[in-house]
Amino acid sequence: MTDAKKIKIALAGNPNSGKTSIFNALTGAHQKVANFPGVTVEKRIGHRRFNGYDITLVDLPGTYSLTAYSPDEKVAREFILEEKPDVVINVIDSGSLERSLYLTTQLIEMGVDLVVDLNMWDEICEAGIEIDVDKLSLLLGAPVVKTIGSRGQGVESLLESALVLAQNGQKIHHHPPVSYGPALDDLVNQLSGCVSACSGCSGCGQPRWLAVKLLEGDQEIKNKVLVPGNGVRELHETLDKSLAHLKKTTRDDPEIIVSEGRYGYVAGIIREVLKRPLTDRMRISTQADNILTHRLLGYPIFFIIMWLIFEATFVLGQYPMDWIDSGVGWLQAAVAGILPATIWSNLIVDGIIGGVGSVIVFLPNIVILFLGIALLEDSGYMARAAFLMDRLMHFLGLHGKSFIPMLMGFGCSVPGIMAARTLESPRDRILTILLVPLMSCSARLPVYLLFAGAFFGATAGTVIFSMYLIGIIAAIAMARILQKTILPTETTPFVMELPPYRMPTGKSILIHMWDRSKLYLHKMGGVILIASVVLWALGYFPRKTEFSIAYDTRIAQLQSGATESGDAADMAGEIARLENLKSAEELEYSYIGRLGEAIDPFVSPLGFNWQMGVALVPGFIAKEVVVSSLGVLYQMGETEDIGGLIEVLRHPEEGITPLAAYAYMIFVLLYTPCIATVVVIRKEIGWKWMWFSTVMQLILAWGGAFIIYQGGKLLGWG
Amino acid sequence: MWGMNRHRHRAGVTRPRVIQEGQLILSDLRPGQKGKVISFNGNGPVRRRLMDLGIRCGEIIEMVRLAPLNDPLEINLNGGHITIRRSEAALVNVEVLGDSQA
Repeated sequence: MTDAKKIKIALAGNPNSGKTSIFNALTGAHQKVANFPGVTVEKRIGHRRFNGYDITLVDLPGTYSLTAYSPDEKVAREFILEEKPDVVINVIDSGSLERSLYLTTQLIEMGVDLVVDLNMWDEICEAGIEIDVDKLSLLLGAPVVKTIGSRGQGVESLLESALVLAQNGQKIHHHPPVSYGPALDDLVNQLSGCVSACSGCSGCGQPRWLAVKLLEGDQEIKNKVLVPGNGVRELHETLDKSLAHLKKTTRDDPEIIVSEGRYGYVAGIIREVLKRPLTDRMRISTQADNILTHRLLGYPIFFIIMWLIFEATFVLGQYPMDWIDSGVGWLQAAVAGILPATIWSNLIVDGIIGGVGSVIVFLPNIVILFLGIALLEDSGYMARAAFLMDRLMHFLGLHGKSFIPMLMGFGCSVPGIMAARTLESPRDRILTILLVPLMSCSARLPVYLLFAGAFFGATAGTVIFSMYLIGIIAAIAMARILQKTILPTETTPFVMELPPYRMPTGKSILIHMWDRSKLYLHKMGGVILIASVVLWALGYFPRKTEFSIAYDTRIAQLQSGATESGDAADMAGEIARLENLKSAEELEYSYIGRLGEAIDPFVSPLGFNWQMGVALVPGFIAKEVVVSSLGVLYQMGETEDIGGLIEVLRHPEEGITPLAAYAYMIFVLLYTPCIATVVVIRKEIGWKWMWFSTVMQLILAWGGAFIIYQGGKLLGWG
Repeated sequence: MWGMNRHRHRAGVTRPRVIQEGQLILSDLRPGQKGKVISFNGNGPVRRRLMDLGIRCGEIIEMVRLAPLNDPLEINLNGGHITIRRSEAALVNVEVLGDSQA
């Protein structure tokens, strides 16, 4: 159908108003997540065909107001002003009508075509709260629709109202102007007159709204409106006079006075339409919180819930990860069996199939983790988690909600960093994302197991534990430093709602999981794949043709039994030994090997031998690759069994001291996160922070290992 | 400004500061106690945010509970529950209401 008329509808509302459930009910799975240009605020766009209309729905970030102070509010406001949606649906939690109408009045003033959606209608019915819908509609001058978003009830009539409005616009509804009380209204009227007469203001928005914003001292609107032109001088003068008048008559900021006036207006509406019984709609939630945020029980319950999510994500997730791993391995073997051994088959098998494998291997983690996070968010427990953890996280200059991404970092940095999306403030998100890779992820454990096993015997457990501790200490130190320097503690307030506990719905959780998985595969998967192929190429090229021994000839001779034969087992062992020698020489010869050798001068002050140095480079693919690379370099092959490797490392000839081993573990803990993490950081917070994170961690790792090794030597431990 | 608030907050923690007879800062209310908002200590983003959430003069606030580490706090405003840091609650002056008025 090409004749379908296009309509753009935006959803605005407070956080926790059930806006997302309405959005999901309206669009189903036909939605995508993007960021608003230039900011890390999520923009969800969906499509719907309805009554011959082609409707685009945009879910604006949840806000309480529409000032220019927080990125969320700015984005929502700019969208309404610049993109001029045909209709704005204002989703309201019917249970907190008063606070919601505070935003509604601002939308009305902006002159949008508004449909008011009283969501969660079932909750107020249960609580015995009564709202006079017809009267509310009359007072606001906007259609009012009752919905139950979680069950999808009423969303059709919501769309119908929106379409009627889009067709007829202001003709059928007239918004009575928001009144701020007689004293303020005079000022607003005067100013709004000047705004109408001012040439620079035309097209900036509704005069009355602009007048109010000017009174509030909104810098963005000032910059927009107070530009040279006809009538701007009068406007300036009137504004200054009004502000001087306000200053004389009250002691509050004009902003607060406007706010008070707005609440006064809302209170008037509330008196007319709302009948509230004496019961507390939070009664059940409060009882639940008596236990869930109890002084003594709160933390144990919180940690049990965290433990469950962590275990589900990484222990349960291990099964599908193993299947993916063996599936990829099987496919690689199968393809290698079919294709003749050339560069191309190697590219397909190790580069592409291996690369795809390294992308999808994270998927089980991401799906399960975001199932957990969706449950926490939709049930209302996430706000309680922030309530419980805020005191501790605030010490790091972070928000209570930062705890979950950090915790997930112990499993894997990739889902941990993605989990930071639950943080609203961009500054908190950046700081959290920078700290997540310092949490020792599970890929680093094999390296610890190898070196602690080789050099610390009975105390290996304590040594490994100390790595986790050092990661946390490094994170605390980094947080304190960043907070004092480039990421100063914001004045962003913590104040937030603790919504009533609600039963999450399957649909919204599935959509949430699907969103994240799609986001990961779509936005990050491709880059991770390319990066993996590049890393493969660096490990594969240049090809070595001349070896110290003619391995291929020797192996061929052995296979054909042309040499003086021992028994079959000896022969197989000899072939394996030769192949291991060959791959060691190949790795040394490759770009990765050369890079590893080039960095030798940098790592030798840390007590690492050249093999240890070289192995750090492929560790960028994934940190556990350090172990298999050491296996190759020590001519053991990519063995799963680290017993042999432990023997070799321990050999006095290698000259690795326990101190150097410890320094190496520190280095592996702290150095540049793996390629997948780096890509995710880049996608979440941009190039600048990606480089910052990479370089910062290299410095941290080198510095840490240097202090441990050289300091330890000075103390005579080496 | 932030530093100033923090300073206030520390002063508030050591001992309840009586502004006038029967007046406290919000962070000094005990769980279960109710207070009527009478004024604010200062302006700025936190004040604005409090305003957005409906914390303004004349409103009655009940202290519901403290987090296990005594910060943040949970308050009840018109039946809706809000969590607020101690330093933020220190901006709000309240008049303590007796149980009979509550």
